[in-house]
Amino acid sequence: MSNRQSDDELNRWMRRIEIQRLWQHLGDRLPPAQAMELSAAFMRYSSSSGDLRFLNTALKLNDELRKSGVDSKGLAELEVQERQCLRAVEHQMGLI
Amino acid sequence: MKLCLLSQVPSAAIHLQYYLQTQGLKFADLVMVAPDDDKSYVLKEYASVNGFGLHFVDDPNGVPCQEILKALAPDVLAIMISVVLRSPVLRIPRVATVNAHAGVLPRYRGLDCRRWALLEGGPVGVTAHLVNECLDDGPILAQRILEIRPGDTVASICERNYYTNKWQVMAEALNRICGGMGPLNPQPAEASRQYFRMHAKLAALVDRLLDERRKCCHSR
Repeated sequence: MSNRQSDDELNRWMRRIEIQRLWQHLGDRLPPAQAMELSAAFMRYSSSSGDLRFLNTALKLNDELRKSGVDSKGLAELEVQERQCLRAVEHQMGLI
Repeated sequence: MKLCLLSQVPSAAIHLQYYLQTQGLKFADLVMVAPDDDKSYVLKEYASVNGFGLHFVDDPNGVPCQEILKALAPDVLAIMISVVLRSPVLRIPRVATVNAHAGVLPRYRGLDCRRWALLEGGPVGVTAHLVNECLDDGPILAQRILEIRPGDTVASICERNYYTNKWQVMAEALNRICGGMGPLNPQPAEASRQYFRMHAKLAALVDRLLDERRKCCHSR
């Protein structure tokens, strides 16, 4: 999945993951590698658009990815991205 | 106009029926999506004293519920359930099905709308709307916005929204339908967003935001 996914495609993925609770089915209906790519794309999109629904879905995917013990390097990158996103939200809300 | 209520929460059903009676409206029947067990005695007593029919079903979209509703033949069905109703049920009321959504439509559809609104700095409130097969999507009948106060917590906001907005908005909507409804517009799709259950990390930020506001309020 490239960085140039259309907003519509990301929106469709976000809705599908939330409605079908796909984070609960990592490895089964959603391969972990794809979940990592989607999570990273959601966080990038959330940062650029300000639409926190995408960060919300990424946080759910990240929780399950941590539990599943997949690709530690990829996961470490997601952790950094997640912290940056949450920090940016705190900043926008005037909390820091 | 025959009004019926389909509800999952006994206390909420009692609150709404009580409030409606103060507004000259009354549900002729209450269909509870709950087991008919020991816990329902309060509801049974309330139904007996206030003279409305009481029925129990497992599934609001199930055939038993459809059969009960067909037999009751409501003009208007008010709902307080967390399940999306399917067309076989939605076709039963002669005039309309109405929901009071704890969020400001069209912007905040779906779940945790009060928290999402607080997170985004948007309005918190209640919207009564006609129900169709899509989530929180039908034309808007009535709406109230809640004023957020400096000392508010999420709990106090939810509580005030429940006691000072929800029933009032439902009563306004039912009164509007009983009065002939008037012109209705579909919700503008471009202004609409569906929200999902908020992750604990974002919910914690909302709590912190309200905490900070409370501290500011106390320090003045």
